[in-house]
Amino acid sequence: MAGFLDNFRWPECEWFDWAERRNAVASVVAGALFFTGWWIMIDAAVVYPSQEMMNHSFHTCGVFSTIAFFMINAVSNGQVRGDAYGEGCFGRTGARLWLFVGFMMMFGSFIGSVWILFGAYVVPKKDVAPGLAVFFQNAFIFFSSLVFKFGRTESLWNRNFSRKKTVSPFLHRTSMGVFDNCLVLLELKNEPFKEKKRLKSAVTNNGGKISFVVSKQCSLVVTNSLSNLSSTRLRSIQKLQTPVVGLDYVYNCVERGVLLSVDGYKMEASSASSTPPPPVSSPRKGPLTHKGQRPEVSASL
Amino acid sequence: MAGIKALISLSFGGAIGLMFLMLGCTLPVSDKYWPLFLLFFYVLSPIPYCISRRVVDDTDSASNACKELAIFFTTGIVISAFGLPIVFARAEVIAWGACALVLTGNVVIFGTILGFFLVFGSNDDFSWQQW
Repeated sequence: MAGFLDNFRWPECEWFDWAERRNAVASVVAGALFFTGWWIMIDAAVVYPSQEMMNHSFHTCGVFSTIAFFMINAVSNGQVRGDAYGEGCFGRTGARLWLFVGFMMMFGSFIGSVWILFGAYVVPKKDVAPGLAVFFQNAFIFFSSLVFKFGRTESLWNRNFSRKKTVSPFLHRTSMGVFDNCLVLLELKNEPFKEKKRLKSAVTNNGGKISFVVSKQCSLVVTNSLSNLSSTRLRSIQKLQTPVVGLDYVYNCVERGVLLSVDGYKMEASSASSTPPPPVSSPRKGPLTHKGQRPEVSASL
Repeated sequence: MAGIKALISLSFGGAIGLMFLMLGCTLPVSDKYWPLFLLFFYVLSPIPYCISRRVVDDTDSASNACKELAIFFTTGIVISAFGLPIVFARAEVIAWGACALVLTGNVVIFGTILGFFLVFGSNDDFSWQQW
């Protein structure tokens, strides 16, 4: 008898790709909850317009909930952990403080709405509907912020589409991508937009994938200038010994149709630009190897 | 061209939805033109999504924060378009029958807008201007 539901499985819903659409579904649910909460309050304000039935100051709970919602969702989880590109206004500690204040405001408004319900409506034995409206508004906004913050996954922001619906005619695909198995990070601050796009297409059209963080899987960092890299990225690069090269490495690889050795393209801390010596053409398709130098590359797109 | 037929059926759907909206204004009691405020929400609803498609050119990643925020606001606008007639009816500004007509019109119009984006929106050359 015990455990008779152990082998029960929900019927598989395969027509809907939950993994890829998770963020969109979470956004829809969060939006529905948030705005439903506000419309409940608008409805209560319309149906109970007088001050005795619903004190107008009860709107402040909802206002603070909303401010807290936007504060909580303004920082990504990556910023708080410290592995997002770019430091933002105040760095990691600032992100944590911001999130802390945001959550405190959110919890405070929620508790305040419960207090209003019981203190101003249930205990004095008044008509409880406006109190319920305040409570539900804040409860919905609270759950909406939780869904929006934790229901979305940031790995989808870096993942490529596994299936493309259409292929643009101007994309040039080679049969064997020069950058197959390469995860490339681009740091192109101060580059014109067209140049950034050109470089990005050069990588992705040849089998490469773009990364936004310096990680173990990141095989290469491309930048126009070492000074563009943030100190967090520099540290990660140093720790993981990721090679840092200039833009010309990418274009030369594509021109010659092979993955060139990074020697000669690498950026050192001493020199700001790299000149391409005659490259060693090695038709390797595996991950790039690099010498134990000190590559300092911070790339932010 | 994804089809003249699709375009025509979408415009038919739009016309039917607007018809329901106007019926809600004139039936069962005439001269209550409050539901016309919903036109504001209809026009506003595709805007966040269009803005996010223009601003972020990242066709490679599966999702990004701007697109999700746009989806959030679009859902909000849709919910508001359903909430407004209900609040009107609760405040006795329009009749409940009119509210039901307007809500039906809502469903049809948002279905039309969604259909437009599904049918015409998913190619790469969904652009308003040539470079």
